[in-house]
Amino acid sequence: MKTNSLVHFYKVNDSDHPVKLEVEVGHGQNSNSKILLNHLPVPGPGPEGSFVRSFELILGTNKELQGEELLMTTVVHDIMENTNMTSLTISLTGGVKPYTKTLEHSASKKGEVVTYSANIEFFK
Amino acid sequence: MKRTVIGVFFIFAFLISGFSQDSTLNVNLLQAPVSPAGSLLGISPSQIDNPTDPEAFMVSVKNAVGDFTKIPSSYAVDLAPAWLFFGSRINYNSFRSSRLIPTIWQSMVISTAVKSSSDSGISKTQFSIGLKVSLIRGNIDGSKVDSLIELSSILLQKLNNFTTGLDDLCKNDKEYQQYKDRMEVLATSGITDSREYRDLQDLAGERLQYLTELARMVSWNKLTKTEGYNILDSLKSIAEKIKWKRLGFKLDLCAGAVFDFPNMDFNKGSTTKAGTWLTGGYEWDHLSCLAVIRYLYNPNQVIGMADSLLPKTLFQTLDGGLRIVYNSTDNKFLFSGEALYRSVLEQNVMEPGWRFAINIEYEAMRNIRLNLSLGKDFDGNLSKGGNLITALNLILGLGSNKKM
Repeated sequence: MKTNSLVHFYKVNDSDHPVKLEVEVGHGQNSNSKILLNHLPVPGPGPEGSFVRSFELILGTNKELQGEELLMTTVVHDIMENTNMTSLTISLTGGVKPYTKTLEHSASKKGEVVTYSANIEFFK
Repeated sequence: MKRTVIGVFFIFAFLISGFSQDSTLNVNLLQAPVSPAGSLLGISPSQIDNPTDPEAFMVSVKNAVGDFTKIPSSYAVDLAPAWLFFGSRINYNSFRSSRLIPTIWQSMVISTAVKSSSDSGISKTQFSIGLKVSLIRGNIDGSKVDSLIELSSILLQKLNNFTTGLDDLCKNDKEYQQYKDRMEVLATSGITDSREYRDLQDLAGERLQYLTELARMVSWNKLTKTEGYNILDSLKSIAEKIKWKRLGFKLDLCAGAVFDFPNMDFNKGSTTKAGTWLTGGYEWDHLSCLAVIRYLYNPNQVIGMADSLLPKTLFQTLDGGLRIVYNSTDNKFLFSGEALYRSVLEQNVMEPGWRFAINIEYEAMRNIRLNLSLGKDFDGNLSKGGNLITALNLILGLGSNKKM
């Protein structure tokens, strides 16, 4: 079943190699994301420390992320004239192997919002 | 001032009305077709499907071909592959970009159409395919859009204040934690590719979505009370105000061809019609200048020529033209002018010629609009020179103060 939410376990190792989170908001839409890493807010460059539209973020090294948990919520605003589709692509790189997942949902009409959430656990 | 303008309109119209021959002067003959394939097959734009997601596309095709059991009698579909299949890769910055590759990819429309007919016991199936792309698409009018997008971002940030609430719900939800515990066991055993892991991922995803909705509703109810207004209504209003109008230099290419297959015999297929449009120009906020070069191979219609006079043999036309449109800031005054040169590439078919058309519209008073059209048209008689045509229309709105 298609949902607007993602739950995943991402494997990391003992290295000091950084793990990168990439979030791509598709279909040209506007959005706002907030992230908690191990239940603490991760400050972003947007309003009130949030993340606006697509962004990249180094979460920490493989070693640092072992046993950590990431929770992200994203609200997408349908501002396009030619489509009501919204999408959120979450990519993780730098761990044992890259991971990418795209969530898609159509807004009922222009001006509506769609909410997404993701919960990722880092394990060794 | 208002009286002077109206007076000038009437005097001008009176002076030239003696030459009047045609009151239907089209000032939009230069525009490339919205759908090249559908246009070449004579399918009206309202009948052309424009699916915006793959599911809608499949439904459109399935309905047209009756669950893949027949060839439709008349069907046209326009696909924008970048948006239809790869929309998740088009982010906001890429959409606003005026660089060549994103411009071509995002503006690309593949147009297809099919039409079946029968004449004297011989069935004929026509397939048409076309392509439309922008090579240069101008820049989005940032002065109007940027502040609205910034406001949208601020309001979205306010709406997105349920992350901590969701975190608390997740921690305390037994069902959700059970799914995650089992997923963790499978993940640490290295079997994240298994069916069981994917099923658990779906179940956990559904539960997380449910918890997200709960956290969101609690948070948004509080927010409406503290803010004193509904942010969702404000976001709808902002979206309505955002107009993605592109200004500056633009260059579009459009092409299409029709292939005929008598009795569905694919060995006897032939190209019976084709067309290419190259449209370029500059657009300001209230003024646009557009130039067109158009090549048509065996067209259904030739501008300024009666259909009955069209040559019976295959022929080609090459047209070039210029169009200027001005619209005043208050939308009370509209001017559009068009000049078009027509030629047929084969000799002794018809003489080349010019056509000019001007349309002026002025809102004299509320619900009263004056419209003046004048120009020099091609003549139906190929050996004859042009003639002058005019039309003056007065549009009155009665019974309501609603703006026309």
